Amino acid sequence: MFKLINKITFYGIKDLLRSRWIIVYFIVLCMITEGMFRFSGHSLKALSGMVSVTIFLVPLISIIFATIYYYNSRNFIELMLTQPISRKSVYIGLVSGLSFSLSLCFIFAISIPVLWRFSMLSGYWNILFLLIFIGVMLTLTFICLAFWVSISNEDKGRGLGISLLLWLTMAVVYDGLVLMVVILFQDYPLEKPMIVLMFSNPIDLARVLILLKIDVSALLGYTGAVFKSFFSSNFAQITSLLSLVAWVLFPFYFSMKKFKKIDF
Amino acid sequence: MRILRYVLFFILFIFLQSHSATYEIKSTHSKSDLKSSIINSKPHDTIIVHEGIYHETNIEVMHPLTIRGQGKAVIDGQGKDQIFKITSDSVTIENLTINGSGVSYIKDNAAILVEESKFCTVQNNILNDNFFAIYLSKSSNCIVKGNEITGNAISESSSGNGIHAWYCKNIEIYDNKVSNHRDGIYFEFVKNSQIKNNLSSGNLRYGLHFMFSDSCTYKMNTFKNNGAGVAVMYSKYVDMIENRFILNQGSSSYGLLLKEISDSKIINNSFKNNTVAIYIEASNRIQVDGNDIVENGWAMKVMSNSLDNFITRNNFISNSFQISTNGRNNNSTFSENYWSDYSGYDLDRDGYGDVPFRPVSLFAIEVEKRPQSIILLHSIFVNIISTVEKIIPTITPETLIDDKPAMDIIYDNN
Repeated sequence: MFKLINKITFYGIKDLLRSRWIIVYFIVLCMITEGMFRFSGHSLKALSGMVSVTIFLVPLISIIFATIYYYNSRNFIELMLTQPISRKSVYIGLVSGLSFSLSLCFIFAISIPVLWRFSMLSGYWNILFLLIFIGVMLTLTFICLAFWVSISNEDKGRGLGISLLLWLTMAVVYDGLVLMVVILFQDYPLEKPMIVLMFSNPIDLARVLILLKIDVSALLGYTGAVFKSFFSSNFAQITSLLSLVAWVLFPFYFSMKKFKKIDF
Repeated sequence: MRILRYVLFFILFIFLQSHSATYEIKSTHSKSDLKSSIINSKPHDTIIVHEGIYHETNIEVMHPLTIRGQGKAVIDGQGKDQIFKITSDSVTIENLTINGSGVSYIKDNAAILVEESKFCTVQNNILNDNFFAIYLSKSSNCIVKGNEITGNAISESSSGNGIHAWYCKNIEIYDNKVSNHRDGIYFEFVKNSQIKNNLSSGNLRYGLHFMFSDSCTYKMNTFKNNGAGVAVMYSKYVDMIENRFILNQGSSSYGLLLKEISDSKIINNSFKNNTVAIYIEASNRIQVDGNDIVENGWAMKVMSNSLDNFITRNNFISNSFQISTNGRNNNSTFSENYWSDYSGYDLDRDGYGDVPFRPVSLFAIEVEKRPQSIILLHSIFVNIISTVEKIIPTITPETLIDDKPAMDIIYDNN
């Protein structure tokens, strides 16, 4: 089975790395990183700029790209499924092919402009690694979510629409709602619900993980005991890292379940 | 005749000199040796304390004297009472190690207490585990120099201050290292004093704390990792120059807290990794110039009851929030600062942006009102509404702007 998955993954990567859009994504991301470092003049500022870009762009590109990729390879998938191979290996092959290509693209786009700024980044390496980690995790999460949406929807236009809506909700609307909750229930102790709310959205979770590194001085200014013990402990970092991994595994598992049952 | 007079003077001089005797104290001697030598000595004598451990408390110095340690001379109070009490002018205590003045809730037990004296010097001592280490009370023209002061403070109520000055004048405090006390350096009702090149770190409350102390200068000190940073209150004509304020993090922790300070200067300091770098409340005519304010939670919190402060030529770099305030009116001037999140342009190439910068973001005000929303910092939604607010300001103070923001980091500061 592994041999088969490897084969499908390899075909996927070979196909995708030649794709025009992957190259465009790489170049754009690379240029943004280069620009950030060149014009900000301060590496922490550049990195926090990159965090904003990563949180905004990576989920969007991943979800759109994966949705389109799934619909475009439907014929290929159907053809493969006529062969005596398990649906599981086809699914894993497809997801890992896409994940590898998009993640590689992200990692190289971030690290190439950093390569000739070695000295500038001294003291900030942990933030860079964290940035790359959350970028990759968000890529994987949103690829799996895209597969889940597009497996559930036969129609391409409808699937793409739902994917975009999902991204918009998670990236923008969700935080607006959270802010509304804060304003509406400001007289109540909100710390625990807030932490739960942050953990239930991968984009927010990724952002909080970075906040714990970059903006810890500001976070420690908050008087609430729950936030304080949460922000100042390693426990927070470890749980949010693990939760981010969980945010990859759950959509992956559920869309695989769906893929196994779907009637092509 | 004249030559004879000179000769007479010379003889007199030698005669006087020979009167200033040197006593040597060794640890093998009986316990009261140090005390009895002090009592038996004449003014301006020197007492040399040799290497060894001396269990002594309540040593009172009542006439001018130099007490000098040789080798590692340790005077141990064993956690009881005070150790040195100086009530005379011109006393020098140097090269001693003084440990364990006793914790008391009634008396301010100190390792070295200088009371109502002038021209005293306390230098190059090592002071460990004392309640108060050096306590100057109603004294003037004293020098505290090169001491290493380490406390063992656990709670604020059962600990004292490293260097404590009360009702003093013309004090000079140089090159000391103070850590693990309640307040590193504490001044109350002190005038015309200099605090230079000290390191105050890891203290429970404030690294430096002063109240009602006018016309003092603080220069090139480092205040690091203290429970609540540095607090200065109710003083005038204070100069704070080239100090470093580092890593003062916590819910009520400030790099520098100014409360009712007026006509003062804060110049060329550097602030890094503090929760709030500078907090200004009810303070007037303060000049904040040429400081580097980098990677703090809040670069400045300026309460709207502060008037006529000038904040110029500072570098505000990578702070989570640049400026925060509690009202819509602003009576301070911001000009020619460098703001790392400024995105304007400079068409006339004079080095200053053509579009004014608004350092108070909408989200800073939101966090001021509802602190728990801080968890949404840097989220896309917050960035969008903050950008909209920057273009069409409705909630942020309209007058709090930097009309001449610098395009590049200002390097000639430190």
